[in-house]
Amino acid sequence: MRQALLALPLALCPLTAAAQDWTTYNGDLGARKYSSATQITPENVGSLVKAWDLHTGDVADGSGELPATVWSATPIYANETLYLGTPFYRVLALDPATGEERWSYDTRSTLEALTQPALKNRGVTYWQAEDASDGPCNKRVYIGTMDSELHALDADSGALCEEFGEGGVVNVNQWNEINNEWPLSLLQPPTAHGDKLFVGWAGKDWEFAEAPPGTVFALDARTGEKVWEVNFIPEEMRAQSGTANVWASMSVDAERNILYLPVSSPSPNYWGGNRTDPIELATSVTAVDTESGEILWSRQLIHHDIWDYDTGSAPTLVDIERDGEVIPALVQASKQSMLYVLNRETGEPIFGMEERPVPPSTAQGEVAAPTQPYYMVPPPSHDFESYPEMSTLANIVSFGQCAEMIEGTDYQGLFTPPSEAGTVVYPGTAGGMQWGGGALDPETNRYYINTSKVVQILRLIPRDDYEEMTGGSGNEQGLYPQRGAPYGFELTNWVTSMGLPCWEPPYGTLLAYDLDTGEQLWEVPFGRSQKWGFYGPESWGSPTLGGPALTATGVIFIGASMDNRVRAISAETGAELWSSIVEAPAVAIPAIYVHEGKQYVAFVAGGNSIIKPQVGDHIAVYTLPE
Amino acid sequence: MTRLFLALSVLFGLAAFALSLRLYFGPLTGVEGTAGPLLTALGSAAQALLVLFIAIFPYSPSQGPAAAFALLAAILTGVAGWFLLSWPILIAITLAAACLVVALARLPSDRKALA
Repeated sequence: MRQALLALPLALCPLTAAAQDWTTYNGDLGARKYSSATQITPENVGSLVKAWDLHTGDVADGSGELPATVWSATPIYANETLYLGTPFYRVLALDPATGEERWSYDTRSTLEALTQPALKNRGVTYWQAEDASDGPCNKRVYIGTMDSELHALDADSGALCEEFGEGGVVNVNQWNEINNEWPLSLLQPPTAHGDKLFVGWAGKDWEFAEAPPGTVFALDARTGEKVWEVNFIPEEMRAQSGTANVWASMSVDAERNILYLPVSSPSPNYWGGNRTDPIELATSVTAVDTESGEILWSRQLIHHDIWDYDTGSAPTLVDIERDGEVIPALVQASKQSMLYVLNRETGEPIFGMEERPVPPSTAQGEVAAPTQPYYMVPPPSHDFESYPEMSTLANIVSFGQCAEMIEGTDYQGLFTPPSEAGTVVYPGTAGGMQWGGGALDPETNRYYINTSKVVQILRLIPRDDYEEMTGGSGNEQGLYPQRGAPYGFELTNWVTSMGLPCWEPPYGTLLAYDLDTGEQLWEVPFGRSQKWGFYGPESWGSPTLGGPALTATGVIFIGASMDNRVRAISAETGAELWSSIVEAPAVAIPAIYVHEGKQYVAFVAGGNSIIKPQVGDHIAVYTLPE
Repeated sequence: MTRLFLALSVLFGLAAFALSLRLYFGPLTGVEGTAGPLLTALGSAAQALLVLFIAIFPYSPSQGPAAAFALLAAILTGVAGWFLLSWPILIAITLAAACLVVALARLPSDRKALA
């Protein structure tokens, strides 16, 4: 029954992944990250060999003239070609079996970190017309740039599609009209469905209180003309706040023509005194009609978000069986480590939720929400009442630095408001579950996701004091001004000067859930932490960035960890079945595809300084030996 | 025989040194360019040089401290190799230490031969 239900949307929409392609950032439009390919099994995965690997050359560590690169591009397998975007905003079209270059295209985008601490790219979008048999530009690849340009290329030749925008390029920044101090950066590839592209954008968080208000644009995939736009901040509040944008990937119910948007938090991120009126669509999952842009429903995950817990990954579509009834649902992973399982037609919670009272704020002008929604089924990956205990070993070897860092800080549970005294933030601002999201086996409705267990300390700094402070900001650590707010802030990991975490491990785990029942099936430490090359014990796990991909045979492929390894994990038990070393942390979602009858799994190892200061330009593709 | 074990100890120490350099310069060792393999290179080089010193100057009054430091270098290198997940380094430096211990046990009786 479930298979029949799932087959329907596949048949209705040619762009939903054919089962053994990998046509979107998340594998398919439902963000399942699932391949029905069956050649690689738990029994033979240990014999995987490298089919080919490649260095793109598009990498910088930040020590020279270029900013550092962050490369999280999921390879796209479509049109019997492997397509990749790079952090220098080039597109590579490769032979999927050999890695040989078929064509490449350079956007010649400025290589400046205009809105981000690094040059970032999360890949490209593939689109094809319903009748894609012949003609140039009936199959296309799109890439966005840091400076707001969206380029449309013929998927066979790499030539610009001239009918798209002006000579093949649309400048999305033309619609950036309010608080436009920085451009709308197109780092996450748009989502393609039907004849439309759905375009979100990333901005410059933490710098300004006022920012461009969050919008998603629907463009005609052929011409680049704007068909509609949807806004997430009430009109009367757009000038004084901003963001609540969609910088992460999206998903689409192709049968129902519904676009699901993970909407982020409004600006400024850690103080909301300028936006105390409700912004109902911020930090939400919002469902939009793909044809009209009409908002069908929205479910706010955090009221008046002052923790920067952006909704950071595409919701995964799932058909849940309960009491003999099949419910069209979605599961939204979150930085705050709750899994939100909602009816995808109505937005109603499947397993229930409760509003719980949370502490008030002591910050000037701030009015924290009195309650917050808690979704406790399926069980969250983090404890919401306490953060991990201090490591005695770390405190001793740091001569008490761990205790000193945490002394006097405030912690009253997950939703403790930021304060001048310092607030313990757990999960950390990058998550929890982050932009990789989870993978779903539609045969079993088991859902697999990695999570990080990192403790941070956030301190609001009154404006006058902040202006006298010196120091810099890194990638999600350091001092940030929040100009326009009465506070700047400092965000630090609870880590000693020598880099030793001050809290008890594990630092990252991999989890399995049964979405039919809401039960957690297993949780295991995942990956290994690393410092100066030395590995932590297996039981410590590693903070992770980037998500898993899954095969029909029950093999989870995932990079994500600090230790430069890509792994195969048993979906049944969580046991490691295979691993291989790559150049840098593989912070992208892997792609699984079958080309000319042979199954491959492709990893992009690009690194991200949030988990480790190491960059890479490495693509490694594995297959079974002949 | 003592000379043989000392020579083996030096050789195993040099093997650990070479393996450390291989880890440092990579590629795709998982620890290339990091401080860890540099430390094992330093430790294994120190072990090999100290054992060489013992072999060349069997009557030196510094022989005792040299032997102690060589063993300490071997142990620390082994621990570092363990945390680098480099079993070859761990095995090489363990063999180097074992050969050194055997040689030291035989050294009093073989001192004349060495001289």
